[in-house]
Amino acid sequence: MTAETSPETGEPTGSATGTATAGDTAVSDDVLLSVNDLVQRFRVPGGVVNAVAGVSVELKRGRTLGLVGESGCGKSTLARAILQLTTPTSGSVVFDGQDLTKLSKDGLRTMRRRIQMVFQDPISALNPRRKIKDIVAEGLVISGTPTAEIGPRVADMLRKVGLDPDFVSERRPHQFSGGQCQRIAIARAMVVNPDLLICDEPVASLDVSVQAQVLDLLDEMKGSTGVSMIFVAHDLAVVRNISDEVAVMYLGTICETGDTAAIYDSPAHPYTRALLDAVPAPDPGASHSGPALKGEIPSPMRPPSGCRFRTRCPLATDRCAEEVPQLREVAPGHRVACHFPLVGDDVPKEAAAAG
Amino acid sequence: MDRNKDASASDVPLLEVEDLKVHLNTPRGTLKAVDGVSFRIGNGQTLGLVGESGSGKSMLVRSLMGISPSIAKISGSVKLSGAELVGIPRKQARAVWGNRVAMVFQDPMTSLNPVVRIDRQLTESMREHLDMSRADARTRAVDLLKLVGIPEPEKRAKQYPHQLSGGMRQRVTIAMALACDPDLLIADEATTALDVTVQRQILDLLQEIQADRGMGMILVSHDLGVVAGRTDEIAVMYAGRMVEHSPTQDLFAHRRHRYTEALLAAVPRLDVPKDQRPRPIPGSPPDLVTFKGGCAFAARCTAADDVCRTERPVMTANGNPRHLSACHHPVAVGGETEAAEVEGAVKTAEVEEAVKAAEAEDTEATDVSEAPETSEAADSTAEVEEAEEAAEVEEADAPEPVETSETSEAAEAGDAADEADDEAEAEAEDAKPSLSKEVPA
Repeated sequence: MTAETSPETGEPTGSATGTATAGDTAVSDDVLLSVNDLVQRFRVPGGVVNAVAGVSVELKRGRTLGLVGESGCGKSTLARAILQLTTPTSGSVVFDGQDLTKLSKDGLRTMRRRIQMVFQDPISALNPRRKIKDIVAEGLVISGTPTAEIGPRVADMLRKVGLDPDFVSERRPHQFSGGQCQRIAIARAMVVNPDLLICDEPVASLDVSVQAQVLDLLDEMKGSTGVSMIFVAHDLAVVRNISDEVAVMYLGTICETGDTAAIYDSPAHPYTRALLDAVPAPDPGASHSGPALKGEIPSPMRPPSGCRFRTRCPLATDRCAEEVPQLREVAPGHRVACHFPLVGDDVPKEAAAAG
Repeated sequence: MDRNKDASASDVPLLEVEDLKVHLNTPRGTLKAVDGVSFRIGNGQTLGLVGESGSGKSMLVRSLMGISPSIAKISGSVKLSGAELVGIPRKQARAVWGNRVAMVFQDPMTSLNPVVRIDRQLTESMREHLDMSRADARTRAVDLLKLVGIPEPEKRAKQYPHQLSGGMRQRVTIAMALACDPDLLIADEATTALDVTVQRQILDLLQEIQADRGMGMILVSHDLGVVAGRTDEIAVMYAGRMVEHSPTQDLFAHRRHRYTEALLAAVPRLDVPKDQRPRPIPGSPPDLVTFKGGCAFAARCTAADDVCRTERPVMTANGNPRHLSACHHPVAVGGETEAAEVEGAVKTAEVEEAVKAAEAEDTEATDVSEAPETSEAADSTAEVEEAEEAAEVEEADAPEPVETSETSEAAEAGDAADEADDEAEAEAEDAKPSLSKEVPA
């Protein structure tokens, strides 16, 4: 238990100072969201689950952060905790200078207009009994927009997401396909002009042909409104085009973070490498570049000692079992929590062959 | 990877499908979910079946397994090692389904019975088809769990599905499918609901088992990436028909159908530069009840012209006799002759004109068709309910999930019900012209 508490307290403090020295003061003005040492613990029968075990991330205004990891890594829990949909156990979520964890209920309600969310399953995220125009208008009604303004704003937003307001307004969610429902969900989120849009696996349940439509739409929204985004996904290929920065999560902690280019071109964490290798290439000639990741993500109730990834890592040594790796910089803005980061392309192959 | 074995190794192919049609009688008319599909699979071969939701790929494989919805009318011919399956008495067919042909479904949680222990679900089909004793079947169940890579198989065998992770559950359904040593394994979107890392594990497992046992396999997916490195041949389906069918290598190297190309361009991939973004396919597939002539993809195709809208293209070979495609204006990609490129350039100019014309037509059409189509959308709502009802009835028809092998069937009926829902949803969607750029009938 002592090994497990240390990453929650020790690691983020180290990383926080790391960012402070790396970024200058001019940049910090631009920070829209900063999550510091966030812990989300759930009491379950038979113990306590540390779903998010001490995470610090930062999002600058107008940027998009891709949050990637397998099911059970805590990425959705983190997204929800940021929005205060669950009450974080400890840590802070500073949004535009205000700590959301300390806000009153009323304060939160005002703040929530500025942070909106799009969920994975668009069909269950929309109330099946309400008309599309009412679903999209809900946020405006709650935030006290004058009634006369609501109609035109809803119609305008529906047009922006590529739907004909005359045609869809009076209909209900079941009359639309998954892709169209996701457009409606995006319209509902964007109609209140949020500063931050959190998308939790918005395309995971859609056909490939429709996935690209929704990704294009989100990119368009980002371009036209300047909204900042957190994009949660399990597939690195999906996140690549839309993100400026990527954070890879494993079992409640962040194992690598950096610019999109850095993560994809020179992944430093063996887990990131494995995630990249797992993306199926639509090319019969392509050989899988590495061995498939063995086993499954361990239970967050009993995380492995030391590095949480060590039980599945091809490079793990005794040191990984004893010492918790801290996030440290391997290149400007590129941080990794690994004792044996894969710097350059030759290292992983040799090491993997040896291990 | 030796994936280019000769398909005609033995004279009688493992599976031979000729002009298979699965038509559903709906209140609006006949829905041609599968409309004349022919293909064959040799022993030990893997076919990748690719298409969007509603393309008919699931309906096709379900009819091979005998689990299409009760309103489905199946015609044509399906021969397994030379023996006809269409139209034979259900009792005879039951000796094949689950025994010689087995299936793995998309969602392992709905294909497993939540209140029955893992070993019991595994032994059912063995007791039914192989006439094994309870003890023998149980031993084999544990062996199968070990085979599909489940740690502590003895312990897992005693657990319930909810105690396993998604990946583990899918391994269990694979073990169930393998229980009777099938000749043909159908994996219907078996990895779609899983994480990429687990997806790769499961695909590797399927491939390994297929090679070990020399089974035939059909890998159904909406993602060309999933089938690329793991199949001998690929068949692309669109709106109930096959539009391209080819050996895998050849399909990726010289794809011909515009739909195949669009589908490939939509896949997010890591092996291309970042600025080469996945390209969406605009619009949605046509309504399979009202769709009449021409190429079904014409309304979404950038190369479509008048011929495409009036004349239905047929599957033809062009060069490689095993590479068939049904497109009036096939793609000319790398490896084609210069003449083809020149022709392509001419065509591009033509296409631009045609697209402009089509767009003008679309705008008009949208305005005109709006009013009448609205009522039709209401109809299709009713239809959704009806299809649901039909599905429910079927579910009720399935015998109590106890003792015999009926459990898996009940689960399958549930799946069939879902499928019917999906189809109905697809229709509901199709009834909205202003949302999709369709040329109205």
